[in-house]
Amino acid sequence: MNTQFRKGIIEMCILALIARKDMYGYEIVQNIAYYTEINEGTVYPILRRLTQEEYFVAYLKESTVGPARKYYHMTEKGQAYLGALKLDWAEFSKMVDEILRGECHE
Amino acid sequence: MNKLDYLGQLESILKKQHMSKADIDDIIRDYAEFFEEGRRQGQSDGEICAKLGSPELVAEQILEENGHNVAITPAPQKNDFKMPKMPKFQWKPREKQPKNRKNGGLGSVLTLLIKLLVLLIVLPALAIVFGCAAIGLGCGFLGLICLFIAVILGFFAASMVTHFLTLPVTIFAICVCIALLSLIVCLGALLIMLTYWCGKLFLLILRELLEWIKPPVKTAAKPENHTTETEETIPNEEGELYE
Repeated sequence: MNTQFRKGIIEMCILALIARKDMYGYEIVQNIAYYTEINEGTVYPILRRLTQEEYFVAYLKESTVGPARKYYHMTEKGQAYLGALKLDWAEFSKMVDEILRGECHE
Repeated sequence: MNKLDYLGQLESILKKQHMSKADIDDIIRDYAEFFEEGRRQGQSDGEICAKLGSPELVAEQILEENGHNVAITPAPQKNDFKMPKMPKFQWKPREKQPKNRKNGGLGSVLTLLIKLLVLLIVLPALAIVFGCAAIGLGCGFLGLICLFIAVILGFFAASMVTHFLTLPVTIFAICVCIALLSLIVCLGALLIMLTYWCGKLFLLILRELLEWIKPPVKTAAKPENHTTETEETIPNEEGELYE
């Protein structure tokens, strides 16, 4: 699959996961990797950018089992962004589904 | 490759890309965390490295996201969704347009004022300069005609005088007169051409100036017309309602 296309979808998945609860990098990677094969190295750069764009705030939390983990928490801005993405995704996937099913618009 | 090698390589690649130390430290911290989590899950460093991809690839992705961030101004970031370009994926593009129009309107009024000011100063100045030049050239041209006539007269006078002198002197005088005459004719022709060019240049500049002035006048006039139209139609409608 086209990498840009894939990255856009991964971005949306990351947003959707963090909207549910605060997560740390490895947790996010594992969650996505559970569903699909991803290049695990790509998740951190996306997380970084989304944080810079103020969709997330990152904070360090001490872990009982190892070094501190960086957690990502969704901001209101991030929620609004995800909302818009979801709407567009629904519309987009519906359109693609219809075309793939072979329905003709006449 | 183990954790330290991997992070060391990644760090050295990012350092070459003029990234700030704070950013590099932050990125290395993230990947170190990833290694630690992987190790806790019983994965070897080699397995984790393989999952991440080569440090070069990871660095490339980081830079891509970073560059992407730099290139896009904060406001349109919302519009950016890395999917194939579909018109429906560009949300909130309409909010921006009226703003731009407003700015454009103000800007065009301002530029119009500046242009009018420039026109008020430049046009008379140009007219004076070119008028003077034209008058000067005209005078010069007239003077040359006078000179031309004078030389012809002189030529005849000289031939009359030399009639009483020896032949070689007469020929010499005639030659000098012809040379002078041709020189003056050439100068005259040159001056006429110069006048022509100056006139042409003047017209060209005038046309350019007019064209430069025209468009904003048109665009500025349009919205005014619109507002007057709407203002006119609203009272009419109200009037009809009251009737």
